[in-house]
Amino acid sequence: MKTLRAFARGLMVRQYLVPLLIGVLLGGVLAGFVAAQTRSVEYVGSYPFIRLVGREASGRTWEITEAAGVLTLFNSTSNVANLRLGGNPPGSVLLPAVLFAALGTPANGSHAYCSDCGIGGVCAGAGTGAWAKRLNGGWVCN
Amino acid sequence: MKTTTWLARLQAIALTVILLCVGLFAGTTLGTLAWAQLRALELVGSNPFIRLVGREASGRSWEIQEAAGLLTIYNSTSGIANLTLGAAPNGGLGMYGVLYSALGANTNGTFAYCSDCTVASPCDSLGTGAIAKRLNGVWVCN
Repeated sequence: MKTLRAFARGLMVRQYLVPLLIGVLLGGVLAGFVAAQTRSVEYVGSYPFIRLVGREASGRTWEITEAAGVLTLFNSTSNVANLRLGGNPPGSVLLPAVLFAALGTPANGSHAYCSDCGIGGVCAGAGTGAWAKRLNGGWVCN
Repeated sequence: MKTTTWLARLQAIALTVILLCVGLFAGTTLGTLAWAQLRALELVGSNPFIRLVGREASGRSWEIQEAAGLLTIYNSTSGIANLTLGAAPNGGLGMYGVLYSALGANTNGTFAYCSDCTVASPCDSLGTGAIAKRLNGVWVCN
């Protein structure tokens, strides 16, 4: 009886498990091969996006999304659309509004749309909006 | 007796094929899932790109492409390279040239390279080019 059971078990392994495992292996290799050989990726659908989730610290997520013909680089952590392309005029770039108080001290070369800055040499609040450029450690709004 | 043997063999072959297919499907799915969960996406080849095709309306397509060392965010719908990175000077940002007549009335915070604007405030045409910034409802080119 025991011998018969062992024989049946062996048959089951050969008949069911081996082909299944071979299939899984082949499928995995195939998927890996296809992925590794890819020159391009295409995401198609309503509002397709690419998400980058940084796990080196919590909540560091960015999205590149397409919606209504506009491409947005969206900071999911701060909930700010950092950069928008494809609005009017075609070829333009839209930056989010930043208040003078929130400009901070980023690296030289940064620039921002300061919605309450005044147009002048050094940026200051209480204005109607200016283009703020970080130059030589100061914010220039001329 | 012979018929029974043939039937049994046929059943075994059919079962093996089915199991192989199931395994292949499972393997491909697992491999694809594993790829989708990866930390990095590497696209290798001549002019690799990522394409986002919005299906909420027709022809809303964007590409992030590499070509000749340049990274370009390309609006496939309008055929415009909205933003180009990596051109000389290293660290510079290339923008599509917009004519003064096409600037339009846009959201504050929009900026564009106006190829025929004068360096002045507000922007005007018949110039040799300026960076146009939309501030407080006006295009400023100084």
